[in-house]
Amino acid sequence: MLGFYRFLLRLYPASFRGEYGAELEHTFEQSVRDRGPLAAAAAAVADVVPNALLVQLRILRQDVRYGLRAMGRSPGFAVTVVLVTALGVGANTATFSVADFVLLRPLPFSDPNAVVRLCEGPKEGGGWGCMNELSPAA
Amino acid sequence: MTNYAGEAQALLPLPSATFHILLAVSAEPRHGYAIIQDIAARTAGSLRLSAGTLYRSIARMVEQGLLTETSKRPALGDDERRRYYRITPFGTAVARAEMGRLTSLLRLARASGLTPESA
Repeated sequence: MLGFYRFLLRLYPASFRGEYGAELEHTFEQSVRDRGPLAAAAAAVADVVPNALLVQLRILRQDVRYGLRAMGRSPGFAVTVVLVTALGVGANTATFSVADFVLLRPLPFSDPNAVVRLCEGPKEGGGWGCMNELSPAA
Repeated sequence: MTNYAGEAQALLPLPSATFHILLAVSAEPRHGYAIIQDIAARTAGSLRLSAGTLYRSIARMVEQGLLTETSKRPALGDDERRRYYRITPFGTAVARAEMGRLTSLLRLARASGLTPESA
């Protein structure tokens, strides 16, 4: 039963778990003694899930606040970081968009495996030239 | 003596759980489960904090400086995982400020003729 509770505690951020995990386990053991294992486990699920979410949100809020304060202290560096990140994200998006359309997606008509390339031209002289629309002859 | 009045006012109104936790540790340091039991006993079972709510509140209250962990353990042979928390002077100031706020509110309600039905 304690293993199940420890698994549930993984929903909390590691820092919170490190600080209060042992005590939470101790309180759960008391709860098992008071209410019985099934009722204690049900109560633990109803307790840990929303509280872990709230703790995660609180830590996220702290991190965002800390980040904004740090950006406020050195705005030049912050603007550079944002621009470089935006450039990186933009370049990646463009590369993968092109790769998706050119390499991954099937051709936009049915039975693309049956597509053939027709070529015609003089056998002698300049070799074969393609006369169809996909690759017009030069 | 440090004057915490301004800082204390900034934390008001206190969440109900926070006020109850401050009351539970105002007389003596207590560990988490003892705080839960004390609150349940003082409210005749109408408020029973879950462990998650308790430790989430304790984490915030320690950050705000309302509580502090104490290394003094009341009994030998106590479970080592238990951690004891005591109220800080700032915590006492905040609890007093909240009590003042609630007293004023009660006075206003009484002046308006509002009394509990069971009174």
